[in-house]
Amino acid sequence: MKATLLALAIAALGLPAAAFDWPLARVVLTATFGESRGDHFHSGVDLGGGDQEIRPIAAGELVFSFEEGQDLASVPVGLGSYLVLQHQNGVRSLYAHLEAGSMPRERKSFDGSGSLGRVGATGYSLGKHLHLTIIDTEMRSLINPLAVLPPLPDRQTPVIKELQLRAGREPAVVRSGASFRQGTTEVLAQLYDLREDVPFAWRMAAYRISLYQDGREVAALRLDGLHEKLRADGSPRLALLESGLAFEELYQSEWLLRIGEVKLVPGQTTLSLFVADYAGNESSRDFLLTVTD
Amino acid sequence: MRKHRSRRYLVLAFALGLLYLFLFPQPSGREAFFKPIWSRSIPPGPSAEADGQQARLSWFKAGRHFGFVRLDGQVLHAAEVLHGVALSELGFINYPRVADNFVFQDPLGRFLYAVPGRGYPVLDPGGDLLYSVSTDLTELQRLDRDGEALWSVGFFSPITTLALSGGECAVGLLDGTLKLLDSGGKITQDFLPDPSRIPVILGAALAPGRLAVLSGIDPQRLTLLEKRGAQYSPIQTLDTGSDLRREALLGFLADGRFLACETDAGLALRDLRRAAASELPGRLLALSSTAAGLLALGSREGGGSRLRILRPLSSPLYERSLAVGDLFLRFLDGSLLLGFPGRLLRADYLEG
Repeated sequence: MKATLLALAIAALGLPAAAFDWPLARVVLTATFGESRGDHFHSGVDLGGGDQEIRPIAAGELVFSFEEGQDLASVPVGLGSYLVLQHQNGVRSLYAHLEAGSMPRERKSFDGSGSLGRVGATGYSLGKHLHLTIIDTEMRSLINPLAVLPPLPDRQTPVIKELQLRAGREPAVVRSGASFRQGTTEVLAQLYDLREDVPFAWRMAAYRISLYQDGREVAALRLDGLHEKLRADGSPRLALLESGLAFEELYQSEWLLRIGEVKLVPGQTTLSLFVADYAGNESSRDFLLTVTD
Repeated sequence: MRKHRSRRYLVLAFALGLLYLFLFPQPSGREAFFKPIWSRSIPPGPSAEADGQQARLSWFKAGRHFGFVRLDGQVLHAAEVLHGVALSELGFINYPRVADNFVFQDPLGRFLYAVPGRGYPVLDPGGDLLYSVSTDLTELQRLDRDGEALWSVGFFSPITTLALSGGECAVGLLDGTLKLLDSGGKITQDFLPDPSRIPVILGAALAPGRLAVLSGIDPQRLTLLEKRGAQYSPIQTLDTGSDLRREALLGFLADGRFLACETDAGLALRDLRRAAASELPGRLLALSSTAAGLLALGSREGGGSRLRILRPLSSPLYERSLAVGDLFLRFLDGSLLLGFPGRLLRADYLEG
């Protein structure tokens, strides 16, 4: 199951990654796919860059739109004014928080260059930005837009703030050389990537996380995409594509992630954590533990 | 001779009948008018306070304001909508654009309870059931009064429409499927309408034993379903001829006989007992109906609106252009509450 489902998904789209383009002329990535939104995964990327026109990521046809303050809706819409385009091979793109009144409501077909409206702050939004979601209706999943849009310049390496082990209720912070009792324990990590264009720490989700114990991989997860995973009662829940982790299984708090479990046996053991962002910048840290009876 | 006498009796009886109708005329039942009962400015002045009397009350909207009013005209509570407001018979949740909590208040505006909530709230019409929709429209939860999720469901495709009835939820999705959930959050049925070139659910209506679904682009279809056992089965599918690319209002009227469905041209009213339909022009703003088969309809007209009161498939009983572009309509039996920016009024429907 290590084969990347994302690569399969992109291949299934039948399109090279370059078939899609960024919807803004000035792209500033302010939030990444899969971040915690308190009780659910962030289902797309957020793009800042100020007041500007929004273009389709590819030629497409309008499927659905909502204009805040104008349209009746049976469901409260946190996306604000938004629209959805259908592209080839069942791919749909969703553009949210558009400026009120800026959507071309009568237009149904878009080539790659026409305007979809302007970046706004309608709906659940703290400031002007574009929320972009990419949906693969054939694979029945939400795709990380960074996987299908052209690469962005990114020199910031992800941050591994700390590692925690949790055998009971309270986790303990791991410091190199620290002692822990033997047994199976959960591994939590506080980690994040950093926004590229600001001098202060603006946190965003990393992309790929691996945990090794004495050189052997014990856990790996990627924020590739989300799909519906059925729980025991048959109800669907969004979960990460490869690892199958649901939101509450991954996020312990906003930046504290449950990475997996390790079995500690008396003696010395090294836990190594590797974290990468989508551009491939990597960080790693080793933690040497002493395990007692 | 006998023949002549019987003809005379017949003529006499006819003449007496005419005389009776002339002396004691009967109302035809078709003479109808609306009598204004009261009008209130919204928000009301500072002197307006509830006097504790028991009278039927209703929630209302008037432009950017909402509140609760008694049928005698006493405004119990009025406030400005923060970003959105979930209204029910038991009270309301007025929530800001970015909220961390849902604060439930009663019709007098008194605090009842608060729960943490990251999405936006939805109340069932009775007010007993509280739901939360994630801001990206991919998750639906039902919450208890402590804020604990009684159940939650997540979909890869955003929710486009939501219909509630008696604890049951019909959840329409952007991918063209409709999920039916029971009161425990269990998906009891996945309904996939007949295929269209572009699958999407555009509207849903739920009533006891009945479901209506508007779906697809090219063609756009209206499917009527009836509950047989535990499942809904399609009984009729119609091509609406429309090309809507937004949520469409779809609802069973209170009389149980008609279905209202938005179209490109306006609002189609379909008689569910026989194959008859009529269409009213204009983009829909507000709609309310009574069990007695009366329908109040507000639609956009230029920069203002048009109010029509009618019985489905009949000529309007009342029709008027209004200068306001924001309209609220709600029938309570024969009383119609009409709200627009700055004002709320009650008019009673009378016959005879």
